[in-house]
Amino acid sequence: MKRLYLRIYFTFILILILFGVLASATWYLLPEDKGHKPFFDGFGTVLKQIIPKHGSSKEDLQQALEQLSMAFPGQLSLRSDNGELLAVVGRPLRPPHPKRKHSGWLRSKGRGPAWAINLSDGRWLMVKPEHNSSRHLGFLATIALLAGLLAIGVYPLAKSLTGRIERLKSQVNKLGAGELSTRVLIEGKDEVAALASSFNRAAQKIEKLVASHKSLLASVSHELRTPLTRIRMGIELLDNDERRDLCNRMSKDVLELDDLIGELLLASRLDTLDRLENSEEVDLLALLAEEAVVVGAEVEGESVLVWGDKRLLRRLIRNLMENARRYGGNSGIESSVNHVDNFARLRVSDHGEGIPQEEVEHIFKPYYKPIAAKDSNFGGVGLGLSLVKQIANHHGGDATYFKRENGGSTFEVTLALNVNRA
Amino acid sequence: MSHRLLMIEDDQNLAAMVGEYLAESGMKVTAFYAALPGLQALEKDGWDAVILDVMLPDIDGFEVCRRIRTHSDIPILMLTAKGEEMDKVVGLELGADDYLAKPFSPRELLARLRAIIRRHTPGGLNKQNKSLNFGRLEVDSQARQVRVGGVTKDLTGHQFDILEVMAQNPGRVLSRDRLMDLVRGEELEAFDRSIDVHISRIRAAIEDDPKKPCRIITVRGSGYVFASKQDGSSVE
Repeated sequence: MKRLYLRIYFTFILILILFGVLASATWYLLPEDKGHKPFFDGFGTVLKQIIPKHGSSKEDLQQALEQLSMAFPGQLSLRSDNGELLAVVGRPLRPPHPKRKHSGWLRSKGRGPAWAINLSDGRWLMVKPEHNSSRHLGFLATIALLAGLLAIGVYPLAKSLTGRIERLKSQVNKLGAGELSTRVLIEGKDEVAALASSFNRAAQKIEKLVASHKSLLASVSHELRTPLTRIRMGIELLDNDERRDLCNRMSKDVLELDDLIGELLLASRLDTLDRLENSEEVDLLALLAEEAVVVGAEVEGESVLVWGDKRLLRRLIRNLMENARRYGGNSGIESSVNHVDNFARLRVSDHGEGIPQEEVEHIFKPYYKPIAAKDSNFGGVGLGLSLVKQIANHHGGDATYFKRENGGSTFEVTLALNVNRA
Repeated sequence: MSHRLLMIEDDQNLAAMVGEYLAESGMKVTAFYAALPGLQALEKDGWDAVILDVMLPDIDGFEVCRRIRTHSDIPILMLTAKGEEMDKVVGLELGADDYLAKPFSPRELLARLRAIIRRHTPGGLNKQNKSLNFGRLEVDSQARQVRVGGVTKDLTGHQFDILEVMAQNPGRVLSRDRLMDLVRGEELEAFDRSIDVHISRIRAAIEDDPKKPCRIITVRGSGYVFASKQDGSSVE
């Protein structure tokens, strides 16, 4: 992951380097400052008085130059207008460009940095002030040290700039993980602080929303089921032999309605649930056997213990059984539980017509009802299989469908054996 | 024998119907529609049990239960809507004796009430040794009796042992070997040969339809399962 503070830091370092490069380039490339001209020309006139005239003997010129070097320590070269070396102290310096007329700095490589002084009689005096090389190194070292100090000093600065963002990030992660009471400390008054306070407002809203959602679920459950209880009670108080059939049917309807309420509430609850609330060791084969009895299904397999929510797993199995009973065409339901690698594999199969290919991808979607069921009285709201998948997912597994070779459907659910352990 | 029941339920119609139904079985129900008046009335003596709804206008039913338990061990049956935290209702945390999920059947309400009142009656069961309840089925280890809907069924000693062991391990597949280990009967060998016979006798006693057993279920090739959920028709 690219860290923001590192990027800020390296950007700063890059700016520092670029500045150095550009500043040097500018010094080399910009036209010479003409303000120095009179000074150099004047200097040239003075020197002309000191240095013997053009045409004097080489010894005189050499002597004059050596005297001059006492006053100006460094390398000095005296050249005629055609570039011939007339006298030299130290290493000979190269003449200026032949087209050059005025005194000034020599900056090109191999020549400079040195002064070129036109002695106004065609001769040039080049002066390269003496450099103390150790001083030179010291200067470079100082620059490097300063750059280093800046680089070190900027690092915590960059880090402190992004530190608050990182703290914000870790808090947002906490919120995402379900700690809804997470809030951020608001530091400063800048954009990051504004972001932090927006985050706090959002977190507060989410916390409120989730809480009200929870209490809504509980009260909806209660508000709907109390009248259902009255109806059920009324039916049983009514119960007489003449209308026994009707009473039984009405009782069944009440239970179906109750089941529907349960499914709707469960679907809504599972959507917001990020981990199981109640986990225990569940014997899947036993649970399967209990639910198989209700619809008269065959059961086989081995005893497999999984860690999970027993009520949810019962709902999962019941929905599969109910599904097989509805669409299996009254021809027997087979179910099994087995160990497969790190999973418990649960299968419920029927001998019905199976699911048309074009519908297969939809069957696990919430509120999806197969075309065949739409105009018949199969009941349900289309939540059964989507709940199966949701519950399987909450147990570290999945639900799949496949057609049987000899007709009919098989629903397979896998449940992880060693996750969700609270 | 007439029992006096105190009911705290905010739905007046439901309270009236429960009262009417239980009156037929000789139970007199006095209903309160909020927790505070109910708690006040409870301070007077003479109540045999409390029927307590979870959702109340003034105080949460769980809290009411907790308050009652600070000064009384009167039997409490809680009425919950599924989806509420029912695991907390029964047991040490709240001290309720039993719970019923709405919409409940009135017959089951009556059976549960009878069971908790009988357990509480002096000279009846020791509270520490609670009987095991599965819907209308009650396995009473203390009296070595089994009841369905309050009616005692006849079982031999061995059969009761088997049933008791199964009822202590609901929702688990028990192989015949495992069952034998758990029972440790004196006549182990004779017992071994006839375990399936014993099971069918127990079924005849406790199943509503012994041909379609719902309490003791056979898992072919593996053994038996004592259903962890009985007489309840919908999933919690």
